Amino acid sequence: MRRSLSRSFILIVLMILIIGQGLLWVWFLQGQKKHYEKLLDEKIRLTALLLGSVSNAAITGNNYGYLENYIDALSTDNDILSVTITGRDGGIIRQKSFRPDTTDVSAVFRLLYLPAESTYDLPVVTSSGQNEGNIRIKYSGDHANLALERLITIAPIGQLLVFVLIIYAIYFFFQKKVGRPVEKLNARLGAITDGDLAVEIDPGEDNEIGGIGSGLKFLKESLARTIKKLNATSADVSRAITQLNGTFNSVKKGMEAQSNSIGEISTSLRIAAESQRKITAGTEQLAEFSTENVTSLLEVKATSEEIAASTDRLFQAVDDSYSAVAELSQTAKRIAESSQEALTSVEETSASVEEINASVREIERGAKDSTELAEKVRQVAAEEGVIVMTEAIDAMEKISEKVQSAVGMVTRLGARSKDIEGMLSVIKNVTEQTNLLSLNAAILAAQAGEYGKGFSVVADEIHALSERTAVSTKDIEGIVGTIHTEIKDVVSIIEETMDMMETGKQVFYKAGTSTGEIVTVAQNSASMAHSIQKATEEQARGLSQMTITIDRIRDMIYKMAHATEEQFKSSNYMLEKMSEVKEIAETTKKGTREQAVGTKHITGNLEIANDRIADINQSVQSQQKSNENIVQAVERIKSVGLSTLKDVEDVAHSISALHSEIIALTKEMETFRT
Amino acid sequence: MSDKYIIFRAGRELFGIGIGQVVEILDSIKVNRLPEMPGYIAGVITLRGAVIPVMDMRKRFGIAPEPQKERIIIVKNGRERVGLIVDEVFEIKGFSEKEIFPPPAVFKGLHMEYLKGLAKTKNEVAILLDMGRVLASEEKLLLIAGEGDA
Repeated sequence: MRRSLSRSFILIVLMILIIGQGLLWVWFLQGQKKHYEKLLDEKIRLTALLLGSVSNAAITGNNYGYLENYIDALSTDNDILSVTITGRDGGIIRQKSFRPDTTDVSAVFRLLYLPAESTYDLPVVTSSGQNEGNIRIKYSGDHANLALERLITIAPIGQLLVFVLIIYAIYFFFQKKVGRPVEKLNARLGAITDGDLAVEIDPGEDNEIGGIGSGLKFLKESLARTIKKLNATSADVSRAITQLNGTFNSVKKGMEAQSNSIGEISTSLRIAAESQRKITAGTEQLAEFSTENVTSLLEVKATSEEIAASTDRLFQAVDDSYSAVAELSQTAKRIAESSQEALTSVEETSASVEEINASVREIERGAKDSTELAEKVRQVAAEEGVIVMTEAIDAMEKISEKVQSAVGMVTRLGARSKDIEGMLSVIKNVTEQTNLLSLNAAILAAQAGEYGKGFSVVADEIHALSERTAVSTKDIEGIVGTIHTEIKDVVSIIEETMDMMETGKQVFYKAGTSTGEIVTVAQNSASMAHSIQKATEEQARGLSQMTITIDRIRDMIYKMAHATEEQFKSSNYMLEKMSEVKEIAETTKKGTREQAVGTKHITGNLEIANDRIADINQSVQSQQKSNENIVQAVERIKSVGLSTLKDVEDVAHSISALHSEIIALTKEMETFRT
Repeated sequence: MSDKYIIFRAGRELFGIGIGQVVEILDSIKVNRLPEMPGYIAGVITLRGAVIPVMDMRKRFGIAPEPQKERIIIVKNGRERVGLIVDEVFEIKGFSEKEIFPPPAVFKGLHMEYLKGLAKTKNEVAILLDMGRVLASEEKLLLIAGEGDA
């Protein structure tokens, strides 16, 4: 049983009122008692004073009559109990008691009541200040006590009535405004607590309690709505969890399948990486081959550069010849006549030169054939490769043979020119003799005086002739020397050509080892053979030029005997021819240079190709590296997949647990009636 | 009127001898050396049966030889004939008296008495010698003595 809030409130209020009222009452009675006591004491003091003065007069005048009357008059006063007057000696002069002692008041009220009997003493003093005696009055507070008694008994009853009225009023008001609405709300709250959310709540009056009521109503309605929603959601969640559980199971299966697939991928990737490693090895080999190719091509290039250098030297030689011929041209005009002997020997020389020229033409034909063959080699090199290469080498050897025969011819030419030298010395000797003879003839003519004058002229002429012959012979000697030098140069050039061909042959052998390089090398050899042909042609041309030159010399010597003028013209013509030779040599030089440039270009291209191969190798290596990385990544994915599978299983377990929890929650929710 | 001279070379110098003093010019032939003779006496030669003393002109005038076509010029001095070895004989050339200049005071080891004068030939100057005076000095005696010995 709960304690009523109103009852305890009223009890507290009542208690406060009673205690306060009691204290006020006691304070009031105390004040009344003091008032009455003061009034009594003042009345008694005045009575004593009056009695004192009366007594004084009686004693002094010894007239007690008036005193007696006065004392009797005092008997009307109900408060005075007795009066005693004593003299100077202490002997009672008069004494009178008015009534016996009244009844005592109860002990309870002793605190509130006046004393039942009190004594008041007053000395009797004369005007001179002499003590004549003493007055004693006994008095009682009974009358005052009666008045106080009335106050004590009547006031509490009135007060109690007032209390009852106040309490009733308070109770009535409290019960109506607070107690009943609170009780009603309490009942509704009880229903809600028991889970009945269908109960209606009346908020009541529009005050604090009403506010609480409406708040409670709002709360109840909100709670009802929430519970309804929660119920529906719980059902949904339950369904979703069931679905989720199924989905997770399928995910788990999928994960397992994925894990297996990743394993397979990993294996395939490893196989792929192995294949790639093999490819890398292949590419490296290819790169090595390519480097070898570049090396052999570089050798070809070096050879080609040597050819260019030799051509330069040939050019230099031709240039020298040209200068020599130019010199010859200058000196030729001084050649006037020559002897029949010189002419004969020159005829011989010419014949031998013709012979040499024929052999050189043979060489030229051979060189031409070689060039054609080299060209053919170049054309079929791509298809027939090494076989054609062998043919090219054979052709080269043939060229070598031809060139060697050319060397023989040129050496013979050298011997012929030595013969010419011998003949020239004979001419020189004869000329000197002639000179001496002419001098002596002149001396003789001079000694003969006037008769010898005619003879003197003849002698002078012979002298001049011999002088000129000497100069011409000297010039021819110079020419023959130049031819000799030229032959030497030609021989050295041919030897260099042979060296080159030897190098070319070596290059061919080397080129044969790599079929990929055959085409390039064949092109080089074709151009090389071409340049050799060109050089041989130049040689042939040079030799024909030499033949022409020797013919010229012969003609010149022949013409020297007849006309200086024609000889001069011939030498000029020779100079022109030599210019042509020079031009041809320049063309050759240019061609050789172009060839060198071409070779350089090819070498550059091959080097680039080599670089490309190296690049490919590098990229294959890097690809391999990335493949290895991919394999590692797949391995990682595989392990992650396995751990994910484990996680998924854990999650499935969690979901099952959650599912059962949700079912429990739904059951719990069903206890709410909405 | 001009006199004719034979122009020859000894060392690098050109000399001329009047053609009247010259007998003939010989190709260089073997010279038989003579003992106890000064260095400029080359020796003797035999010409058509006669023994002729030969003097080396280069050594005589203290010139370094530059032989190209060494010749022997046979000159006559009165009845005597003397051979002169020279480096080269060029020509016979006539000079008028205007073309001959008097020799300078001193000329490279030659005594003034030997010189007839200087003449211009081509681009060079030829020293014209008086062979009579050249041979008239003590060498002449020596030569004669040499001839006598041979």
